[in-house]
Amino acid sequence: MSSFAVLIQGAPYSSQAALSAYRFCQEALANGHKIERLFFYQDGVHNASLLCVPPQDEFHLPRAWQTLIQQHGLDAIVCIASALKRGVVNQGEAERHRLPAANLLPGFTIGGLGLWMEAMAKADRVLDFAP
Amino acid sequence: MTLHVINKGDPACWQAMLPALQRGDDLLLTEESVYAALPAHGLAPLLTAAQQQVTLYALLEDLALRGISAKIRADVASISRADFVALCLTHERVVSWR
Amino acid sequence: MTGAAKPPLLICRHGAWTMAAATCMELTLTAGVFEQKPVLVLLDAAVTLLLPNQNGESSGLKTLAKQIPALELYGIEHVHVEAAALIAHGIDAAALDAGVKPLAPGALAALVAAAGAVLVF
Repeated sequence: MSSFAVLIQGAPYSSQAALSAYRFCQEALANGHKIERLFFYQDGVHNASLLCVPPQDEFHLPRAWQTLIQQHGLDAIVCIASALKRGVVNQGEAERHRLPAANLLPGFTIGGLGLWMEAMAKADRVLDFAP
Repeated sequence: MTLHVINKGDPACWQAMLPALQRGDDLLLTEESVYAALPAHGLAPLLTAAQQQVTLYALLEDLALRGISAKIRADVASISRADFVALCLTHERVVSWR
Repeated sequence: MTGAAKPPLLICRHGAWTMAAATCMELTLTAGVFEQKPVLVLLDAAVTLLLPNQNGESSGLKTLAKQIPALELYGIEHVHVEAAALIAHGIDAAALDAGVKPLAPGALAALVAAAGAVLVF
């Protein structure tokens, strides 16, 4: 059993990157490996939006991430700086910045880049999925 | 040894990657780069050059999605996602080129 | 085998005003702060980070080029650059800081082989 630190830099639907990351994680977990941390960075933060409404006949990637995260107890971090810039906020950030709404999908946690540094140093392998 | 992963058919990206390859590394084509495994593709000479040093793979799921699983050159092996996971572990590091 | 023993290698291929370069610099500096001793390589248009007289202030943009001289403070002593890219972008290698090192043939592969995690931007 090995551990993977996975960086996701692509928004869902804008490219195949986020879906490739999801499928990789699904496979790694099915093969008995561990995901040290998921780190959603830059445009990848959009995977954690509560407000995505893809067409009914298309794969709901944010919710699929949520299910995977909750089923396996994964540590899914959304980079705070990238998220704020792009308008993906949890309740705390919404209040701090006096924003009218919060939209972070439950299961995801807002965090800093240090958490990615930590995961990169600790995991057996580092994977980067970007457009 | 290194597993190199490339997801685009951008010649500049391939040109940047080639000097980073070492004998014994592997190269996996994913997403849009799988078209480069078609025999008459513009990147064919670069794949031939790469193949001197590394073993070439393409992700089967991405080939199948694009309807080209049966059309790729003989020196590119199509592999499953489980194989991809396993390849990550038989190499010291995975480099995703962009 | 973890990446903890070997430093991360960050490779940038895109110009000084792209999100890719901004991401690369942010991760490089953060890795420096965390004392991971990152190694930075600039290929293709990323060598434009070395061009002088860049200033986005009047446009409210962050000037990444200004972070290059500060790399040393973060424990990043060398920036490895693609020699051909310097020429293509009108940069005189001889006029560059001592910490900027043109890559010799085979050097990029050696840097990859010596690295822990490798991230490309």
